[in-house]
Amino acid sequence: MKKSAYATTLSRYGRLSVLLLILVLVMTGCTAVAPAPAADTGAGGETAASADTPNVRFWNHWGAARVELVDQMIADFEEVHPDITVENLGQPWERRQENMFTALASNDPPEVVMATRSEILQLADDGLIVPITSMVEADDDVDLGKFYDAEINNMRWEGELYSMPMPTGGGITGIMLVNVDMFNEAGVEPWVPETWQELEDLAREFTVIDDRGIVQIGANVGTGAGAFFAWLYTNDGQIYSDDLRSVAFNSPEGVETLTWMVNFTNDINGGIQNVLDFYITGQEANETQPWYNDVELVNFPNVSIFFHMATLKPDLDWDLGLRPYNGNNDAAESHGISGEEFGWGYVIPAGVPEEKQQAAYEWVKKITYDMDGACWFMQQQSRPSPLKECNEDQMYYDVNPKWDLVRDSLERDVSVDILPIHNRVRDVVEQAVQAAMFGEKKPGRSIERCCRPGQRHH
Amino acid sequence: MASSQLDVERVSPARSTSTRKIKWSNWLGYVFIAPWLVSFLFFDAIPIVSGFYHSFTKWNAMGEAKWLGLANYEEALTRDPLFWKSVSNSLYFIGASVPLGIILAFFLALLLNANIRGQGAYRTIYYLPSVVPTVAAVIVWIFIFETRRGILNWGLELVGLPPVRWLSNPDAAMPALIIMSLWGFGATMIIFLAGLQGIPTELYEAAEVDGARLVQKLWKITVPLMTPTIFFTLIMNLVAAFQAFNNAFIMTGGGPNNATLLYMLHLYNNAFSFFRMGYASAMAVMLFIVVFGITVFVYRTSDRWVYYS
Repeated sequence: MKKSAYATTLSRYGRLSVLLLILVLVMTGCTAVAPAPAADTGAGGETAASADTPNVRFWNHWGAARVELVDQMIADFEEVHPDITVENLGQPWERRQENMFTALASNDPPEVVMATRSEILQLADDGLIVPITSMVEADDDVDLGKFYDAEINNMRWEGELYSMPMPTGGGITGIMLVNVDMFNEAGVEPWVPETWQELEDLAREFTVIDDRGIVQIGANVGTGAGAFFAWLYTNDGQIYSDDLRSVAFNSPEGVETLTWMVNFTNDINGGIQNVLDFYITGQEANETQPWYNDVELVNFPNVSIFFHMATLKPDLDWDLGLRPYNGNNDAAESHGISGEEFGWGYVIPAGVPEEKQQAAYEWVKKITYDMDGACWFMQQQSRPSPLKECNEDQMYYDVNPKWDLVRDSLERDVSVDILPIHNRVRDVVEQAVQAAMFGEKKPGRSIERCCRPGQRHH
Repeated sequence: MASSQLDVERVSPARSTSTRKIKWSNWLGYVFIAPWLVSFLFFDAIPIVSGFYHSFTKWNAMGEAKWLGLANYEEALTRDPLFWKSVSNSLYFIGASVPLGIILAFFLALLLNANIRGQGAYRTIYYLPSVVPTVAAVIVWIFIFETRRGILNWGLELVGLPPVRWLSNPDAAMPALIIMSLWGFGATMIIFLAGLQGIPTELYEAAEVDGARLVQKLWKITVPLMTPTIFFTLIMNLVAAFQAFNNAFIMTGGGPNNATLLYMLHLYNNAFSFFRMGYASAMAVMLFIVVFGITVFVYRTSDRWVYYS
């Protein structure tokens, strides 16, 4: 009898426990999947105090010294828009894409997400982000003509605008720096090469190699797909055909470009292994980079380097030129390319409720269009803005005597039309460039063969 | 026959009560393991089923999945050159890192099992690498592998060997990755240490009485009695090696020239660089089948070399 009573008691407790547990799980589950009310997602009690205040969570990669600048923009924005709060969700660079897509795939995505141009096209093509065309058209303050054409066009897909740009998608590949201190040290009059052939001469003069590899490098023309695309445009080539229906990097110009890169790397720098070894501990923007240690004469940076130089080595004496072109090709000239790899925009995920989209747009406008937002943010970093007017500010000339050339490079940048599958095409080209660099295939054959799967991706 | 039936009927009420009691005892157990079960359901079981389904689709993780049938599998097996490259790289990595890792961990466990002063400190020191974050460890290893100033090349030169381009030479990059993987031997070593301490000392004493030497004791007593532990660590290290990703992702990115493109890295690239979740899911399913098959094979052959007595 006692055992039976115990069993009954046990079963009663068991049933109760199960019911209680299910209840708790269901409640927590519901909380997890339901879109959180705006007031609950804020960082502080101030946000929670007002349920009507839209909270814009800003998913971005402006790290290091830029965090304070973003926070300053947020403070300014909230002063003008007391009905909106912005939360700075700075993200690490590591596993950037994985984290971003996980956030976008969630039921409660951030209201504004920083993404590259190719990602934006992919997201737009899949209908996962909201076009801002109608919001821009309804906004009397916005004149898209203030942007460089190449920059604003990078943000369009199939007739719709999905963001405004910031920073420049151009300026990534168009400029070239030379270390004047190294010229002086060598007792050579500083000069800036304008053609591939002049670059070869200069690099050959300054490169020093011993039995362990490169001690000092004249120039590194790159060993991957990004460098190949950049040099391709200085040899009058292009990645895709004008109608975007076929790849065009396998043209004679493409073969000539890759052949030149391989020969340069082998003949002047002693091969790709030397180059990889030389940069192995200094790939990021930090003081270990050869450029900051006076062992790299010519550098092909993007425009963010002006900010980094001011931080890491303000006394460095440098000169500026445009990316050299193939002097043996009459049609070739200096060009940078815009929007091929990076080119950043700020998108509003389709999962953001409609009532919050306008608030998100206001913040996008602040960081991409407003002179006291987007322009100020770029000026603080001494890097150019996609807004033409912003770059005319005297403060740029005060800190950068070669500013006219930076602007010239932006004007010369070619906006590269790419497809949502560009990352895959890029990977195919990367394989081809690597195969040629490591001597597995001749450059011409490598590019010709890689073109087949590239074409299939289309 | 009739008597037998009666017996059953006679005992059936008691059995019924017992069954009910056991049933409700089980319920209480389920309540206690419910948090794990729910976690397993949502974070393991459902993703596994979802991954299996999506391996037959074209899907980018957010939009609609489009049914492709076996196309992803067909592409991997017949048209993706990097698939087979990553398979061969992974087999190379597993074939070297798993046995070397087990041998190293076993050897160090033997040393740390010796009754010496400062035993605890030694154990802590040897286990430390296992708790160092991967990113920090990789950065340290990049400096160790550096061609010009790396400590490894310095050591090679001390013994009269030429320096090696560890991270830029496709032939040396995988050995570098394998050497680095040995760095994390701590967990395996701890398991071996626990196993060694379970071997009765009487066996060694008896062997000594019979005149056995150190090597004989190792081969005739220690190794046979450690085979269940070796079997366990073999399975665990095999599974972990198939899933190796972090070191290659951070240190080499799969290069140079795809020499360290491990299977998981290729899978990751497809999933998160090209947003081909369907294709990546197909790769994951194939990995699961291979790992499962090898695990079953090792398990089935274990009765020939594992001693549980």
